[in-house]
Amino acid sequence: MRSMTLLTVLILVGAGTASGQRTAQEIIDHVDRIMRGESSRGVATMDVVTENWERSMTMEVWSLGTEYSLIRITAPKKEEGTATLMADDEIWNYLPRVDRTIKIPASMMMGAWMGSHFTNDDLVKESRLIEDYDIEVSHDGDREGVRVWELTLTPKEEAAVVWGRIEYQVRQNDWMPTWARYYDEDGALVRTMSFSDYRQMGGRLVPAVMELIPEDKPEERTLVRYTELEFDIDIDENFFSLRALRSGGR
Amino acid sequence: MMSRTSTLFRLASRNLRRYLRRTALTSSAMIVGGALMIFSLSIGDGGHEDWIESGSRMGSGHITIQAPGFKTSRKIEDRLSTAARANAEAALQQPGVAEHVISVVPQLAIGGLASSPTGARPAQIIGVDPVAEAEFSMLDDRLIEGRYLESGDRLAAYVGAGMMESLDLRLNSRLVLTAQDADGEISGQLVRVVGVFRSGVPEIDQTLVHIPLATGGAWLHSGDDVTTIAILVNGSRAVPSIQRALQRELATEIDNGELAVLSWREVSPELNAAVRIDDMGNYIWQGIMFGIIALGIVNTVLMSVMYRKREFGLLQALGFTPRQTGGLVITEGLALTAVSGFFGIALGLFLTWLFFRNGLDFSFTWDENFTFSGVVVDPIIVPLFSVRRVMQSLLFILTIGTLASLYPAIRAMRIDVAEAMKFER
Amino acid sequence: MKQQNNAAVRTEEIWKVFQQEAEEVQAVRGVSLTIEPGEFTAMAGPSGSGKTTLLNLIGGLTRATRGEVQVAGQELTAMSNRQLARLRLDQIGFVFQAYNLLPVLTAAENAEFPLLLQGVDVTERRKRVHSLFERTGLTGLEDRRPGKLSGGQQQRVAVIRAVVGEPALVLADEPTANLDSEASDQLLEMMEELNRELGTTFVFATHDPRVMDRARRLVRLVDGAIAANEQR
Repeated sequence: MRSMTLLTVLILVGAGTASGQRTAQEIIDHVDRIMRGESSRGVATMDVVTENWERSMTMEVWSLGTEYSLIRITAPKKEEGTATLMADDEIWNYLPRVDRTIKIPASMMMGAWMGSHFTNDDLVKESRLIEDYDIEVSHDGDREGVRVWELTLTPKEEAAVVWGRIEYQVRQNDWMPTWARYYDEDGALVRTMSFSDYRQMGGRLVPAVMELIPEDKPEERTLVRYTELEFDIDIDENFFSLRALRSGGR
Repeated sequence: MMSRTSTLFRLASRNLRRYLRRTALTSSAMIVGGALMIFSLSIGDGGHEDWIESGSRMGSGHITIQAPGFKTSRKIEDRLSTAARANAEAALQQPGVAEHVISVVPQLAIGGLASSPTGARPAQIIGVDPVAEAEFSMLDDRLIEGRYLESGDRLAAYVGAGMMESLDLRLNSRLVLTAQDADGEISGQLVRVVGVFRSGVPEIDQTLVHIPLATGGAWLHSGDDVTTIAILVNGSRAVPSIQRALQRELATEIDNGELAVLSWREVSPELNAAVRIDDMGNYIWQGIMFGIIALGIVNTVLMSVMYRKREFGLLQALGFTPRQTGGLVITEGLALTAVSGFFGIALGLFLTWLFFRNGLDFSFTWDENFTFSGVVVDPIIVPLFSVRRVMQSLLFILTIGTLASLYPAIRAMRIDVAEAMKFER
Repeated sequence: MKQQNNAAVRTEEIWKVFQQEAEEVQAVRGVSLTIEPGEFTAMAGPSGSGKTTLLNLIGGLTRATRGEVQVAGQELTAMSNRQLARLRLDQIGFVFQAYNLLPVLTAAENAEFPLLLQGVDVTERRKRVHSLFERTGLTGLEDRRPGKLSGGQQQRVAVIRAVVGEPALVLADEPTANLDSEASDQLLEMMEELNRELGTTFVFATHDPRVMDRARRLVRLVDGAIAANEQR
C-alpha cells in the first residue's frame, strides 16, 4: 500500500531517445506513482496469512499527498472502527474498544503494520525510488509471450534504504508492474511483491491486487485487493484530524 | 556532676567485671553481630557501587544534564540549546566539582527505528564522540566482533548482539535508522555495522545503537547540538553534593527551563529501587539478628539487677533517686553494648579488609551474566568502607543497648527498699 | 505549714498494714512518737514487734498506711519518691545489720558516697572522710574493698558513711546483730562518741541488751504499739 501523492506525471512514452537511465527512471516513477493521486479514497481488503494465524480485514482509506492518510477498518466486526491516522509525520492509532487515541512515537513503529508483511516504513516514508536508487533496464524483451522491461534498482551511495537491490518487471504496453523483488546486500531475495487484476478504477489503470510474499516463509503472505478507488476527491488537510480518526471520516 | 558520672561509670564497669563470664558471653554475641553488620553493609555498598557504575557507564553517567522535557519525550526537539550546553560545561569546571569529575561526554540520544531487509525494531540511538565515549563507556569493552567507533567514522554503527540477531545483521551490514528530525520530519539514515557488543542486558543488546555524533547531527539537522551531557564522577557518594553544586551554579538556566540536572537515581528509577530494596533487605535481617542479641542483653542486665536487689535497695536508702537507679542500669547496659559493639565494628572492618579487600567472589551462587534493571552484575564484589556506615552502625548499636536496658532499669527502679534490705535470720 | 517544732522525728498515729495473701498484718499500729535532736534512743522489742518497720517508716523506706511522719520538720507522707530520696540523702544516714557497703567500691569510696551524690567536691570529700577515718581509728583501711574488712570494720565504715553528710538523723537497724561482743562494743563506742561530738541523733531498732543498755532512752514496742517509754 503506497501513500497517495500527486506530482504531475510526465510520461514521455516511447521517446526512447534520452539515455536509458532517463527512461528507466520514468518507468519506475510511473510505477511508483500508480496508486497516487493528489487525493484519493479507496476501499480495500487485506488478507494476511502467517505461520500461526490468518485474518482478513476490510478498510477504508483516504489520503492526501504523502503527508496525510487515514485508514479505518470496517470489517471484521471485532476490529471495526480501529483507525490509523498519519498526519504531519505523526502517527495516531484509535482503538474503539477502549475509546483510546494513542500517539505512536517513531520508536514504536515496529515492522508489521496490522500484522501484515508491510512495514510502517512502507507506509510512512515518502517513497522516493528514483531519488534513492540508480535505475537500469536489465532486460527489454519477451517473457512468456509478453513484452516487458525488467529493471534493476541499485541504491545510491548513502541512500537510507535497507535493500541491496530491487528488481521490477513492467509490461511495456501499459506500463503496469507485474512483480517487484527485493534483495538484501548479499544478493539474497528477501521478499516478492506481485501485481495482478489490472482494471480501470477512478479513471486510471491500476493493479487491483498486490501480494507480498516473504522469501524465508513462503507459506506466509499478505494480499491487498482494492474494491473501490477514486482519485482527486474533494478533501483537504483539515479532514485528517483526530476527530476524523475517531469518527471514521464521517 | 562530672565526678558523679565517673563514679557511676566506675560502678557500672566494676559491676560488669564482677560477672565476667556472663558479660563476656553477651559481649561476644554483640561483637559478632557488630562485625557481621559492618561486613554485610560494606559488601552491600560495594555491590551497589558496582551496579551504579555499570549503569552509569552504559547509560548517561552518574549525573546527567538534559533539557527538562527530554526524559519523557526523547525527541530531538527537546535538546540542549548551545547556550545551555556551554553554561553546563562551564559549571562543570568549578572547584568543588571539577576534582570529582572523571569524564564528561556529550550525547545525542533519540528514540527511533532500526530497519534491515528482515524488518524493523525499536532503537535507542545515541550519537557519541567516539574517543570520549570509549573512555567513558563500558560498552566498548563489551565488544565481541569488529571494533568500536573511531574518530573519522561517518556511516558507522555499534550495535548490540540482540539487534544483530533480530535484524539478521552481520558486520558491515546495511542498517537504516529512522527517527523524527529537528524539523519534525521522519527521516532515514544509512549506517553500516562496524562493531558488535554484548552487555548481557537484554534491553541494551536489543535496542542500543551508537553512531558518531556528527552523523547524528547531520541526519537530524541538529548541527552540533546534543540532548545529553553525561557525567561520570569518582563514586556514587559524591553525587548528591555535586548535583546540588551544579544546580546552584545553573540555577538561572534551570528556572528558565533550559536544562535539568539529574542524578542516576532520577534517570534510572529501577536501579534506584533495586539499590534501595537491597539495602532494605539487609536492614531487615540485621534487625532480626540484633533483636536476638538485644534479648541477650536484656537478660544479662536484668539478671545482674535481680542479683543485686540488696545493693539497689542500699543505694536508694543512701539517697539514690529512682531516676539515678535507672540511669545506673542503663549505663551498665550501654557500657556493655558500646564497648562490644565498637570492638565488633572494628573487628568487622579489619577482617573484611583483610580477607576481602580484593573482592568477594559470588560466582558460586550466581551464574555468569546476572543482569537486572539495566545493569550487569559482576560476580566479584569489592567492599566499600565509609565513615557514614560506621557511624550509622554505632548509633544503631547504642540505641539497641539503651532500649535493651530499659526494662531492667524499670525493674530496678521498682525495687522495694524495705523488702530488699530485710535480713533473714 | 507545720513549721513549729524542730524535733528530729515526730510520728502521729502512724500505721503500717501489710497484705499477705488473704491476711492483713498490722506491723505498726497507731504509734505516736517524738524524738528530739541529739537523742541516743533505742526502739526495742522481740521480732515481730514492728521495730524495723517503724524504723523504715521514719527513714522513708516504707510508706505509712495511715498517719503522719515528720523528719527534721518535713512531712514524709506527702513526698514523692524523688523527694524522699533527697531527704534520705541530706538528712538521714542508715546503718543496716549487714551488707552495708557496695562491694565494688573501696572503704573510702563507700564512705564518701553521700557526699558524692550531694555534689561535694573531691578535696572536701577526701578531707572529711579522712578525718572521720582517723577519728575512729580506721586509718589505713581507706583503700580496702569490703571483702577485705572484718565485720566490725565494715559496720564502722557504714557508720562513717552515715554521718559524713552531717544528717539530722542516723537510723541503725540491728547494727550489732552479726558482731561479737568486742566488735559490738567498739561500734557502740564509736556511735556514742559521734553522737556526743557531732550532736547527730541516733535511733536504733534492736533487741541486743548491750545496745539497750547504752541507749539514753528506750522505747519498748509490743505487737506494733508502744508499750513503754523509758528515759535513762
